[in-house]
Amino acid sequence: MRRSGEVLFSLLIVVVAAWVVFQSAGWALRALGLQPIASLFPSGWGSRSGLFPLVVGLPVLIMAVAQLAIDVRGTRQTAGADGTAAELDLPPKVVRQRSAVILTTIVGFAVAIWLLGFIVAIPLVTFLFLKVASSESWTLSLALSAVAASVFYVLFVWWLNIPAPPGLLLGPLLEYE
Amino acid sequence: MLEQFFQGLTEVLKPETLAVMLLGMAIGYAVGILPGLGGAVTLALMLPFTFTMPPINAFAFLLGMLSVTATAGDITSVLFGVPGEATTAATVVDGHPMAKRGEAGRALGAALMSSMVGALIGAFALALVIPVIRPVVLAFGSPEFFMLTLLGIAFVAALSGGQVLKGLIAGGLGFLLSMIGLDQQTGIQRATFGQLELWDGIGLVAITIGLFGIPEVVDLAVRGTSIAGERAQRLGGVMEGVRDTFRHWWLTIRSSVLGAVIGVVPGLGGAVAQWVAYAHAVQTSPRTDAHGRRFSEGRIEGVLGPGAANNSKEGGNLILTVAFGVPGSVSMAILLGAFLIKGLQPGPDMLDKNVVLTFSMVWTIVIANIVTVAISLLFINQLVKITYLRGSLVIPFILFLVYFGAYAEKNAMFDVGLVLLFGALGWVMVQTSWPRPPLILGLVLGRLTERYLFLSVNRYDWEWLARPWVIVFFVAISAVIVYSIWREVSGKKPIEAEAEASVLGALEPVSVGADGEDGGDGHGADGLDGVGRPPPAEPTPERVSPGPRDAPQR
Repeated sequence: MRRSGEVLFSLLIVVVAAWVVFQSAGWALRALGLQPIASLFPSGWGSRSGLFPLVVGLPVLIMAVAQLAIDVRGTRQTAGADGTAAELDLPPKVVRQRSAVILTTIVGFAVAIWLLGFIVAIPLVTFLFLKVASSESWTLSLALSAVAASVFYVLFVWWLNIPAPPGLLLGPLLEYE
Repeated sequence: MLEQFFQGLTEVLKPETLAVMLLGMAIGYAVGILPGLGGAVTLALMLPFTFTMPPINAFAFLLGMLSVTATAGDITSVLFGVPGEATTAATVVDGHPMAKRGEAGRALGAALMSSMVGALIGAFALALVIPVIRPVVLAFGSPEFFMLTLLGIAFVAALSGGQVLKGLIAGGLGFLLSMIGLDQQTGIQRATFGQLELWDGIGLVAITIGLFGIPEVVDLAVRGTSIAGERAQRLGGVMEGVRDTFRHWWLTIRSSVLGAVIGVVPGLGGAVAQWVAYAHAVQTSPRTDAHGRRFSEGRIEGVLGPGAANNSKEGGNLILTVAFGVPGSVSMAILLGAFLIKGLQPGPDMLDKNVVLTFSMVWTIVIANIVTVAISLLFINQLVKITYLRGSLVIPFILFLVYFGAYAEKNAMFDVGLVLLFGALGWVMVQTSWPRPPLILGLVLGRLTERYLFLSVNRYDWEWLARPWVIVFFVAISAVIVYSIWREVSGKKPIEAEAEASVLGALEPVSVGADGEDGGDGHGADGLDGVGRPPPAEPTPERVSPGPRDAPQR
C-alpha cells in the first residue's frame, strides 16, 4: 500500500512536470527550427514567460521519471527529512477510525468557515470536536468553545482589526458586503 | 567611532526610548506567536504610530518589534508544529519531534538562547562589516545572484533528508509552484486555471502552515495522546536547552554567521537563512546522535542552526537597508518606508552623519533580544505544559490558528482552501518520505530566481554562463550534489547488511561525539561524520514517531 502510494505520488509529479514542459516548450522548439513539432505545443507562454518553467520543468521531469523508476522497482530508500516508517502500536481499526474523525474535522472546519464565517465556525467546530468526537464533558466543551470564540474575537477582530467575513450562508442574512 | 557606538547605547537606554521599545517588543511577541501574522504585517500595521516619534524612538519601536517576532515564532513551531512565522518553519522539523518526546522545554530553551546568540552576532556584524561588504555586494550581478539562489536550493535539497533526488525534485516543484499567477515580466497568466485568486500567486503562509501544520494535527489525533506523548514529565528542561546552545557553541556561531551573510544578499532573507542553516547543521553534524536519532527525529542541532540564523539575519538584512538603501526582505522594505517618513536617506549618510542612529539600531536588536529571552525563560515552562494537555483539547485551537493564520496573510478565504490542499500534500509527502523543506525554499526563492534568470539572459544572452563567479557557484552546486550522493550511497546498505549492522551496533555502541567538548559537531579534521559506521537501526526506548507516520492505509 505504501509503495503504491509512493509510485502514485511520483507519477503525479511526472504529470505536473510534463504539463509544465508541454506548456513552455513551444518557443524553444521554434527557436531550434523544429516548427512542425512546435506547432503541437501551446504558444501562450512565449520565450519570456516560458524560459523559467522550461529551465526548471525539464530537469524536474527527468528526475521525477528517474524517481518513478526507483519507486516502481521498489529500491529501498533512507529516511526522508520528515519522517520514516510508522512505529505506532495501535490496532489498524483504531488508526482508521481516528484518521476518519480528524480528516472529517479538518475538512469540516474549512467548509464551516467558508459557509458560516470564522466567528461561528470556530466555537461550533470546537464544540462538536470536543463533545461529539472526543466525548469530553458538556462543561468543558462549552467552556473551551467560548474561550476559542472570545480569543478569536478579542485578539483578531477587536484588537488587530482583521476583517472576518460571515461566510457564504450568513453573509446575505447579515447583509455583509 | 567608539564614542558614537556607546552614544547609540545611551540613546536607546533613555526611559522614553526604552519604553516604546518594550511596547514594540510586547506587540511583536504576541504577533510572533500567532501563525500567519508575520513581522512584516506587524510593521506595516504599526508604522503609522511612529509618525510623531523622533527617529531613534521610531526605530527602537519598530526594530524591537521585528527582533522578537522570529524568536516568538519558534515557540509555536516547537510546541504545535505550526510555524509562528514563515521564517520559523525550519524549527518545526526537529523542534516539534522533541516536543513530542517531552523535550519541548529543552527545544525552546535551545531555540531561545540560540536566537539570542544569533541576534547578537548579527547585530555586531552590522556594526563591523558595513565598510567591507559594500564592494562584495556591488560586484555581484543578476547571473551571480541567480546561481546563488540555485546553490541555496541545492544545499537544502541535497542535505535535508539524505535523499538527494527527492530533495532536488521537491525544490524544483517549489520553483514551479512559485510561477503560478501573473508572470512578473510579461503579465501573462501561468497556471491560474481561470481563478482570479491565483493571479497574485499562492501565499507562502498558507502553504507553509498547510504543509507542516495539518500533518501534525492528523498525527496528534491518531496517536490520541498529548503532544508530548506518554514521556512528558521525565525528559528535558529549559536550562538543558540553554546549555545545549553552549555545548554546540561552534555550530551556533557558524549558523549565526551564515544567517548574517545570507541576510546581506538581497531577496534571500529569513525564510532562506533558516533552511540553509538547517542544512548546514545536518551536513556538519554526526548522522545519528548519542541516542541513535537522525535529523527530523528531534535533534537539538536541528533547532540550534535555524534558531541562530533566524535572528542573525536581521542584522545582515539591516546592513543592506542602512548602507545601500536596498531592502533585503519585505520587513526591511517597510522599515525603509520608516526611513523615508523620518526624512532619512539610507546610504553613506547613515555611516557618517547619522551613525549614532545606526548604532542605536544595533543596540536595539541587542537589548530587545536579551530582554525577550530573559522574559521568555521565566515563563516558558508554563507554555511547555500545553504539550502535556490531552490532544483532543489542543486540536481545535491548533486548527483555528492554522486556518485563521492562512486567512490573515491576505484576508482571503481562498487561502483556507489552499491550506487544505497543501495540508493533504504535506501529509502525502510525510507518508511517502518526501522532504518538505526544499519545496518551501523553492517557493520562497522562485520569483526571485526567475527574475535573475530573466535579467541574466536578457542582458548577457547566454554569455553569463561563462562569468567567473557563475562558474565558481556552478562548481559549488555540483560539489554539494555529488558529495550528498556519495554520502547517501556510502551510508546506505542493503536491508540484510543493515540488520546485521544494527546487531553489531547494539553490541558495540558507536560514540558519535555529538555532545563533546569539540563544539558539539563531532567531526574530525576531514569534516566527515562517520559515514559507513552502523547506526543503531532499532529505535531507542525514548524514540517516538517523529512525524505523522501512522497512515490509516497501512
